[in-house]
Amino acid sequence: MNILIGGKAGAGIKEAGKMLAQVLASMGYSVFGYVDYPSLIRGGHNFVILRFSEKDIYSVDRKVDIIVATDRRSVNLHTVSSKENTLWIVDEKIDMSNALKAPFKEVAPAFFKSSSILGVILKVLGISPEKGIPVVERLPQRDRNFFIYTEAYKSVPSLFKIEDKKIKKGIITTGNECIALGAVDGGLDFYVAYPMTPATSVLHYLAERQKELGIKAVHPENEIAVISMAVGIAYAGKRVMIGTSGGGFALMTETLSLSGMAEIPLVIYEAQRAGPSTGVPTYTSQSDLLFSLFAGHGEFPRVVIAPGYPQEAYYLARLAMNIAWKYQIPVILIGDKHLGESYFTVNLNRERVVENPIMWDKKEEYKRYCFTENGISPLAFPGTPGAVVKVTSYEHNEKGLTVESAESVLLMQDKRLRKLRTIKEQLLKNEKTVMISEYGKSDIALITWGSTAGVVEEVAKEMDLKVIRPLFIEPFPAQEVKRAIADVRRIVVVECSASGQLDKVLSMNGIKFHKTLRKYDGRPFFRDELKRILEKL
Amino acid sequence: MAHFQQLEVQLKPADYRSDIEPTWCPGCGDFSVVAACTKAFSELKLPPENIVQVSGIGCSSRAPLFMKSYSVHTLHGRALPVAVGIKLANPNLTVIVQTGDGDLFSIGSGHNPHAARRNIDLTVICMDNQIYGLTKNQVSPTSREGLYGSLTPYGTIDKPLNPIATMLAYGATFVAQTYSGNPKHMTEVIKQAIVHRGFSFVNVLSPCPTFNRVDTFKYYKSRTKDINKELGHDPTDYSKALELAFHDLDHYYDPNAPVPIGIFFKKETETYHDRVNAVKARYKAVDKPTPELIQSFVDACKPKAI
Repeated sequence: MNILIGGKAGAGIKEAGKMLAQVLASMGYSVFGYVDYPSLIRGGHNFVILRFSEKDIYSVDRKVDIIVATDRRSVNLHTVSSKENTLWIVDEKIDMSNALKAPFKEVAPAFFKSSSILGVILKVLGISPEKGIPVVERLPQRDRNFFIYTEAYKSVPSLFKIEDKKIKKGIITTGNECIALGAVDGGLDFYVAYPMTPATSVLHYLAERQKELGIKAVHPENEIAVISMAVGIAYAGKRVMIGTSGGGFALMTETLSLSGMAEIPLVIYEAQRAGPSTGVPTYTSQSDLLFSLFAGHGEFPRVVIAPGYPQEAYYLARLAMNIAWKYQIPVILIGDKHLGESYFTVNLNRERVVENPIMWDKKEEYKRYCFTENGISPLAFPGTPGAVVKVTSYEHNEKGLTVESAESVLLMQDKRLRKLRTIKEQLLKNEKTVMISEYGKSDIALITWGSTAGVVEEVAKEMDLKVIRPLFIEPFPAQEVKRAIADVRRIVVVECSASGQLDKVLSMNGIKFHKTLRKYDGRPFFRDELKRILEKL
Repeated sequence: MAHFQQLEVQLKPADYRSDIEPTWCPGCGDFSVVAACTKAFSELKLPPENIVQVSGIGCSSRAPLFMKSYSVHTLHGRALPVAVGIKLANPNLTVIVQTGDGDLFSIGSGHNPHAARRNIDLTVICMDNQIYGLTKNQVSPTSREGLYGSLTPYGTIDKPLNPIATMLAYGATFVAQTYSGNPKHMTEVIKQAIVHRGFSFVNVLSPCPTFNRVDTFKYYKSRTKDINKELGHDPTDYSKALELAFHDLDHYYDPNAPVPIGIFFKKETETYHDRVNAVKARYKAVDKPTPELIQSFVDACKPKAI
């Protein structure tokens, strides 16, 4: 079932959606919530689409079963989302025939409407009022909200019978929360970021929990300072992650290159939004894939990882932390607004996994960039007696001193190339770098990446299509992808990009495809929409 | 007892020199900055492994290479935020930024107010030669009006930026100016800057013999005036410090005006880390979470049982 809740920005629409999702998850349903809001604080229009099911779900439909319109604008805007049998629940002041009238404003005058929306929907769905109490209790001004919730609940009839499934599938969370927790469990000491949608909630989440998690969240003056501070922090021996969106990442690229040259371990979370430039700040996109692969001048090893689900975001953020320190490289974790801010039902098994990097053994004279077979040089941090760690953005010798001669330039470039080879060999061998569906007997395969996974994999399962999805973009698991498509007749690339970025990565790796499906209106693919398109193929 | 670590046995200034020969032009003011720094390190008994020197790009930013200490040679304009990161990660280190007028006041100027207002305990040494050397003779933000450079064949029409007044306004808690032709004064000022708990800024007038033919050793020699000893300036007086700072560049326009050197302002007040520690104490924060604490947080994230 799909439920759309619409209303004025600042009226508690997002909160109502989250509370409803939490209630449904507590009753054992898998819930997915798409949150649509403009880049302003008050006065615009917000809406949330929640879909819930007994099966695991990760997408919503464009055409919905229930539309909750708390204001007149919602009626006009969401008529496109209604089907023949859609139930409209509208504010009692709105003149609309065949709609269920609810006193959203009446019970909550001059107040956020989240508790009144929740009361009305729970009653209509036939869910007992007790189920909503825990989420209402967590709101500020508890008594007032509780009163509003109860009044709203009483005001409408019960039309459905949504049962309690007793066994919970998980809790409601977002990709951003899971990125944050993954980094923490990978040994995070510092999170440094400048606010930028849709990465900001990682900063908020970690800043609120600095005390419990023993980490430090820092908000410097701009993104250049963010990555520069991170370089300083990592040089001094602490684990650091930074987060931003495309514009902020653009500012960071010069220092990204420094981290490649100086071999400074960094994890960069790039939450994509619709660009170019300021673009559509609160909407989603997958248009920074090539940027993340090629950002920075010069040539240096990097890893680019693209989680598709919050569980993967957690696991891969933790892994990114360990990869960054094992190989002393920048690791880019590329997500987007859809993964970062949508509501998912997740059962997260947290475990702290912190692998220590290779440290100087204090036997021989310390050389920061000493030549090794695998290209990885042991670390020492400032304050270590007997070692002098000179780090530089210039090309350098083993001791970290500037060099310019042809031989020495070649030697250090070759060391970094050896490291690149080590990374490629080890990661492609030891890590799960690509997801290949177990279903899919037909001779059509879909290749996708990142947050588009949810909808693609759900629809593909229904239609029995094969799905191939790289989790690592760099190093790219070309052999595995090629093997997976060997017996497929038709390959379709699905992504949220106007120019087709994944297809360029595939071409670079010698992988042929037949058709591309691209969406670039700032919205993710909707389930019914994608299904309709695929059925026509 | 100093607030930084000290050696029991003092090292000689030469012990803080690396085996790399400076690549500066003969007669460059920056040579004596390195000499003053190593002398200051020696006199303060700093353990070499506890010193981290961070620099940007430019002639002056090479200074850390010529000294035996930890160092990060960063990007143009980015020494300050990298230094802040190092100090955040390990507050026990003595962190020094070696930079120049172009690095600090042109490309990197956006970071200055924020490091200063946070009063992070580090020392910024700006070798100010009022010209770009490494990119060959372009005017800098501190160049006097009318200075000729490779891009200003008719003399620059831009007004110079006032390093002392800006840093004072940003909230630096130690602001001084010294002159590389006066090694004794320079060493003393650098020592005090390092000892100062908080954000210290030292502007070193450090002539470029190759490109800047106006602001030379000869020019400064007869003009520098010690504001503390000769003018009796009390560095705890912020308003007086600002007033003096506003007249810092008078000599660009008035041939009789002095070039002030000395400590303009010095105030020990709570540093960034003092405030961090105060907040941590108030909210009972931990440095390393225990497994129980992590579990309690995980539990708190779960919805309450219904």
